[in-house]
Amino acid sequence: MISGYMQQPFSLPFSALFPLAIHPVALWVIFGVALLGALIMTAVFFYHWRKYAVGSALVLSADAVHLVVLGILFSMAFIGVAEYSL
Amino acid sequence: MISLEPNEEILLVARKHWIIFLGEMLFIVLAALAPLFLYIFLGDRIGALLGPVLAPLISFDGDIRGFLLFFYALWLVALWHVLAYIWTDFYLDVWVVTNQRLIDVEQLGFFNRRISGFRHDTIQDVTVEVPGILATLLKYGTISVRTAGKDTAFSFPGVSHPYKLKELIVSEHNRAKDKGTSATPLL
Repeated sequence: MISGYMQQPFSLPFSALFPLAIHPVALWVIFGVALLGALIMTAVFFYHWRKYAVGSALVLSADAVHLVVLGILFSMAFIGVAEYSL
Repeated sequence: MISLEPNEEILLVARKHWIIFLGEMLFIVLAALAPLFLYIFLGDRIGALLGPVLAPLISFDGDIRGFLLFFYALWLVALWHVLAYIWTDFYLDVWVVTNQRLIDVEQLGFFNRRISGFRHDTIQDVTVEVPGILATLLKYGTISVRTAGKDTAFSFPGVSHPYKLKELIVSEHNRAKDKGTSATPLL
């Protein structure tokens, strides 16, 4: 015999959770985590480029390009999350 | 970091050809542009299709365009790091020809690299393979060097100007042999 509960297994309590509201604070947290991750990765890249690039003048340009691109992308992300928060 | 011996000078640092990096970069560019094309050309259709499905599951407490811009920017950040990783692997793979040795430096990921070096007089054979018309026009190919006492050959695929590199290795080998008097020069 199939009970009413089995027929509608997700009627309670899950339905109370949905729709899942995406709060702006969640995006700020993701932004912070991504920024921290990018900073760590940047340190790792700079370490490798400066230490191991044999006879290269390109490394300083690579550093600069990396920082500029990250700046642009995180500005985009900042604008996005700020727009979402308004 | 490569430590040189006394009186050792670097003659050439050989790297892979830029076309190799370009080929690997193509996937990143496509992955970066794909969401943009989806949004511009299919945004309305996707919204109409997924809207009714997602509406009971997710609600947005802000402007959806800001949400999309935010995640697109993070997607680009992720791709940019993948590209930087590919470039690191590409740029740090080098063959260093000095007046005494040939040094093969292979980057195997972060904090992981292999450095092999052998003297010019131990070289037994140098082979260059230039596969196809594009490689011929752009001057890249694979160079392999076989040394005495080792079963495996050192190989550098996709190297820029392989014939120039071969000439230098052969001339340094012959110079080292002349110093040691025993003959059989490489061709």
